[in-house]
Amino acid sequence: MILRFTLVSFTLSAFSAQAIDVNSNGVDDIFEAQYPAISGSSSSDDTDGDGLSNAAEALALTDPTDPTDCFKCLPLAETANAFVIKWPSKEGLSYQVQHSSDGQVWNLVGAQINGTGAVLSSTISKSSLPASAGNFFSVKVAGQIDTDDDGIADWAEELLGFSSTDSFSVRSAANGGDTQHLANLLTGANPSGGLSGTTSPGIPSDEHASRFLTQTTFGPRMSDIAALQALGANGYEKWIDQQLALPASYQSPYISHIYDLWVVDEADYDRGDGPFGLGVVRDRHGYNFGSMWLPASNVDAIWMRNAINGKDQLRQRVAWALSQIMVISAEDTALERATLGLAHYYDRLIEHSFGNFDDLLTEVSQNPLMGTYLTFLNNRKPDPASGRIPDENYAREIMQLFSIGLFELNMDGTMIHDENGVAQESYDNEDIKALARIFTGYKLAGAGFGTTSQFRDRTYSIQKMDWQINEKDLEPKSFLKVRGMTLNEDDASYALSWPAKEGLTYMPMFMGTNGYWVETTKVSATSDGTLTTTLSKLEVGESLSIDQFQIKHHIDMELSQGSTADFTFLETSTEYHLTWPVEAGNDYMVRYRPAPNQPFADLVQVSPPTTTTRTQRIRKNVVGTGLTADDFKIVISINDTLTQAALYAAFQSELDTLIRVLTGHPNTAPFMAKQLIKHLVTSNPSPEYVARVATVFANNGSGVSGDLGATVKAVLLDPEARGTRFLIDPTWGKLKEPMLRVTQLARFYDAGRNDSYDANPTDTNRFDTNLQWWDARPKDDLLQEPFNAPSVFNFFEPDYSHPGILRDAGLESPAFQILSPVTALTVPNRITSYTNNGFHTDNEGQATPFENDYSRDQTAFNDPSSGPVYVDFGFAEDQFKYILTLNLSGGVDYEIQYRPLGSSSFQLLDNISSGTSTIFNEWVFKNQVGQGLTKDDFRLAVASGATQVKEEEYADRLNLLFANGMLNAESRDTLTKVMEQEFGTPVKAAAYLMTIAPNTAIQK
Amino acid sequence: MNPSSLSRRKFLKDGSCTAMSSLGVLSTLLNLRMMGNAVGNTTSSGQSKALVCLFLNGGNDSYNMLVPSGAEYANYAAMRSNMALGSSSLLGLNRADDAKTPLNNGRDFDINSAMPELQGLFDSGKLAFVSNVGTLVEPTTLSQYSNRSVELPRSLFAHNFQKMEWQTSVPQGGVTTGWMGRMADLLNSTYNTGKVSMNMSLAGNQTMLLGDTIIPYSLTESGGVALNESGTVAQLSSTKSLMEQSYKNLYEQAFADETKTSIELNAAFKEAFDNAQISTIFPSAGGLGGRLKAIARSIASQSVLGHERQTYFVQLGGFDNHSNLLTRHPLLLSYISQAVGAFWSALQELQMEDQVTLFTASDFSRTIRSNGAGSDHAWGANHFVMGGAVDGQKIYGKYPDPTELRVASGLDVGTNGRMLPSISTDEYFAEMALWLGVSQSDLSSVFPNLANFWTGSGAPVGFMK
Repeated sequence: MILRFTLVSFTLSAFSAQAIDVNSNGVDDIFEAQYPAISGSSSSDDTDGDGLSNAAEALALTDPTDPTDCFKCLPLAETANAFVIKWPSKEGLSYQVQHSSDGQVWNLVGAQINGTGAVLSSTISKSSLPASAGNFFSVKVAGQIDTDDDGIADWAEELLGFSSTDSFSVRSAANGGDTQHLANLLTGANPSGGLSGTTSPGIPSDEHASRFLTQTTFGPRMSDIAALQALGANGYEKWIDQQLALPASYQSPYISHIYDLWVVDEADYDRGDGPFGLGVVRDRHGYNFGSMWLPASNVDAIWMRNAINGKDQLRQRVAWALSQIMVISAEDTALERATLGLAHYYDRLIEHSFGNFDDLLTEVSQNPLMGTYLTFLNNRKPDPASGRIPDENYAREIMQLFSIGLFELNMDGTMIHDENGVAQESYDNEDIKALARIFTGYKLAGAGFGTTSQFRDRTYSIQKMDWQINEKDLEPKSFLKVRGMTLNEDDASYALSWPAKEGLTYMPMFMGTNGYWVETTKVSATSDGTLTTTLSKLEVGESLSIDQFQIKHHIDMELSQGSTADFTFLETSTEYHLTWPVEAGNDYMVRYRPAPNQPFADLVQVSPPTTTTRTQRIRKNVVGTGLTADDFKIVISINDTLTQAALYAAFQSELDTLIRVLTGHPNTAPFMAKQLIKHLVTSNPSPEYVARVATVFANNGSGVSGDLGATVKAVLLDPEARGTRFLIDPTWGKLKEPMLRVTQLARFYDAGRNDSYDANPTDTNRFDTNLQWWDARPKDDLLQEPFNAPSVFNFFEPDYSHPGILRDAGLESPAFQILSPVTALTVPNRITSYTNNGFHTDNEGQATPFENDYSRDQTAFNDPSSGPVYVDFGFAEDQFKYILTLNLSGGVDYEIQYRPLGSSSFQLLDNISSGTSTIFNEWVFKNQVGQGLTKDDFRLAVASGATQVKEEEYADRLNLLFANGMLNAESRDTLTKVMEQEFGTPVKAAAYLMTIAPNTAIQK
Repeated sequence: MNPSSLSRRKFLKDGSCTAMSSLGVLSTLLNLRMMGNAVGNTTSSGQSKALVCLFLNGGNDSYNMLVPSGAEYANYAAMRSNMALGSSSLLGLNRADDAKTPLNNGRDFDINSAMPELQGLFDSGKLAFVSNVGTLVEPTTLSQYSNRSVELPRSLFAHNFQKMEWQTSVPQGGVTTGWMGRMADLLNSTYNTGKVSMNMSLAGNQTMLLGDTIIPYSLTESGGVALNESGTVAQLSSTKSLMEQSYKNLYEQAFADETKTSIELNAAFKEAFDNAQISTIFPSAGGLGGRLKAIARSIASQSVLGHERQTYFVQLGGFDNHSNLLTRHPLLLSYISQAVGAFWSALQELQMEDQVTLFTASDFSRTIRSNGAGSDHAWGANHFVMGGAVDGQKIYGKYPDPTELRVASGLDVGTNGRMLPSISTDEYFAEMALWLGVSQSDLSSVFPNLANFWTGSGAPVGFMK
């Protein structure tokens, strides 16, 4: 007897789903999303080489990347009366056995059997089979089960979070139901805006537009979605390009404007009733600021205005990310009054968001607030006599947090380990000490060295720091090892080679016998490429290994004793003659070296009384014979007034060189790429994604590194960011930061709609009706607030991993660091307060609430397309009656409805209307409607023609805006139930859910 | 597969990829853990205890908290130059030297004059100092440090790493749990019948409190928090239903878990806490007083919470004084002194003086050398331990003497006065772990490196009675 078991075919039947295949490659798209390795493959491909094509595996639901997971029957068993056919099954499939007598013509036998995930068996009695020469059996997949008959197989609905028993589980019937929803989730799932699994350009669905805008804005609005779609094919890129070109919304003009308007109240001053007996500042309307300075919370206000209303949303989002990488904070009492300074600093982040990272880091490193926050303002050069050393704070953090990070990284952001698996630290304490010397001599611009400021007013707040020459360390510095050095040696010497960059100087070093690194001779690169230096074994010692050499970067301003003077050189039998022009007032130090490898030493100082030409004669019996002009040097000692510009240029050049070394370090591209991805897109990008973005950071395609605009574009247009991984992969996504959970609501409710600031930038009255103080201390509840990080380590660290299922899965989850049993509740509480009260602090009634607009959404809710509108009412009862407090609008007819005890439907109780708006107590007597009713058993319907969009359709919008259409069936069900029960305030009820529903707190 | 075996595998994986050379130690830790986890060689004594970690965030300049005086003052003043405190900024300590403190006996020390309450607690025997404690993997000499011939803590002098290493007490890395968490893993089943975790934080999520099975609870100064819904039944039940669903996406599931747990635990905690009142007045300056008061109230709630053992993490920030050290640091020390003084009074009010121990921890101490306006990140630090169970009025370990308290020589691992620690965090913590009830045989599962420092005879340091 010959037995054959094969998968025959997939056949469509009444209860089975058709494969969803928008990219027309013959493989189900959900299946492709589940197995990204086969995405876009053709139906005949067999990725795992198990003999079943990917298309066939998609029908059998076997893993197309695992050759052991294959649809095959187990050995046939035979009893006296029957054959027993067994096969491993998958849930969601229906199977049926086929029989053939000749292996040619097949007939279905037995019943269809649904898969369970276990081995199934079918017993076919011999009597049911035709008498024949042969019995061939096979099992076929009869179909994929689609219980709710919406065209999406149950297994796929399960994967996607849809309901398999409700065809309108994630999208209302009016909007096309689950089928349309799935199609939308596949439309726009490539960087060109086209269909999933293709590279074709197209226009993204609402869901994909919303998802993109969640990554790029402070919360999508319906109008944003429409605008993106209106850009047509390749809309994502076009939108980014538009954003790159938009003028920036800055904060300083707003703060400056408030300063311009404020006045010191002299009367208060005289009365001495200010906080320090100094009088107070009032604005021109008389509002008492209660302090002598403008409270820093005003910067929160402009931050919020730009976040809600700024047209340059992407720039603001990137600046917000940068502000959490290059952190300064008003939590530090030194900055708590630096209102304009904070705005100015943030403006630099805004300004450079799409600019060059070098410029940004340079700007940050010369900012007076950063100098104050990380304490290198007024940092003094080393003083060997007293043992004083320079402050190391900024030296450490500029490397650890702002550029290269603690450990050596591969281009894909993974750590480099040595042969023992140990991670390699990217700098050591010697590097810190060298950088600390670079960050000396900084002072407030125009101030005396040692002057500090609280930046209470505009003085010092916005000028770059400059230098105090005599507190600046002028000595050469070697720092930060070059990666990629190789060693070749012969009998006499070692040859060290390393990748060098044009214009940078390097210091080859070897390990001395005392265990300390010894510097050799610096080498400068005149072009990009490999530099080689040769060290004699006689000088550095025999049998050194590669670990005993290193190349460090080197900066020598050649100012350690001032600048050098050119001279002419003559030699007699007994003397050397050095001749040069001298200037009265300067000191000149003649230095020499006895041999080329020796350091220069001082010989004689010349202090000319007049400006003239001078010849210094040096006796050979003092310095030795055989010296050449190269062995002499004349150093002009520093005269502050004469050489300040040149010195400042040298100091600036030193900083620029350091920044260039840091930003060009191989770590910086992956370090920054990964941070930007984590802030904008997802917490655990694949190494490949990081590498693609880092590559653009390192070279934007035109040979420029650190192009942040190009980098941001690469982050957002990456196939991983735009593809379907988010649909299926449980490790994809990130927790939205508390501030973003706030801003998405503010934008949804159009909280800034009356803000004339943006509309009328020249209107001096523009503050009259708007918020001047944003909500006080949101950080108390949110643990996040602009300008208020607890330390330079930000509100949360990028590699934090939350204990529990996330850490067990090896996932990083930055924003979870501030999700504790406390904030799990205080964040929703604060957001609920915003929902109810708007975004404002009502200071003595002076500031108008920055309130939410419910009318707009109420209007949407009142769309006359279907169903009645229900309006909220007050409810009370006593022994005899229920009291309904009705807030009636004039000219509208209402129906009071009630639901008798035990009944499931409402019936008409009374009609009511009023010519004018009024509040009216309706008494409903219990002997009329029955005892035991609750508020939920009454409702007040608008009867005069006004009807409403069904809750389900409203839920579609909320799902779209807050969850990018990814609300699962259960959450959506909950959402619509709440809206049904919160008559009259569906918007707020929904918003409440939005503050706490996991689908909306997580960005996917 | 049960969840704990999953986390153990992850634990191993971490160890192998980040710190190969410590794998042996970590494997031992795992094996011991597996034995210790289920059993925990502990039995309830019927008397409740609490251990409070006061974390001085940013790196306390502890050589200006406990200062050498007498003959050693001149060296201190010379080394610290303009960061040295004058005699008017110092208070004398009345010490009771004995055989437990041989290396500090006969020497004079003062306390910063901002800390009169601590001076009083010290003089009355309720407080001890422990000198020159730091992160160490194994005993380390200066030449071993220079030659890297022993394993050193990762990323010395960096805030985030050192803070983490003080919290894990496994400074070679590869561990994601904290020592108080691992300790609670052992003690929990014996001493805790309540729903709320025995490990509690007043500073949000902190690794120190996190165990393999123990997930810490967070509270605020005012105790538990509640969800402030508009209060409708619909919303409450909706929230519940949202949190009880299962989510495929791990972030969504984690968020739901966190919220659900938070609602339940806060309800339980609030009930106990709100009924516990303390009449002792705590100082408001600096905020630490309010937090310690909340701890006192929570300790007072132990029986209602079903806790016989509790650990707490509370912090005071602002110690990263690269500049303004001489004005800011005394202020911070005064906050500590006043708040800890009030905490002691509260323990007296509760009649729990012997049942509660408070100790300090910090990122690191700071450079002996001045940077002109402050000091920079360093290593070994002086700490204090307070409570009725502390053998106080003594300074344990060895405070660096004038040949050691140097810059570019002595115990300086570089040139700026970074003291090589002489007591490891393991020894410091193990002393308190024993007091709290961890058996000696279980200690290695909490402190995998402890055997490098302590043979098991005598006390690890000696400061607990």
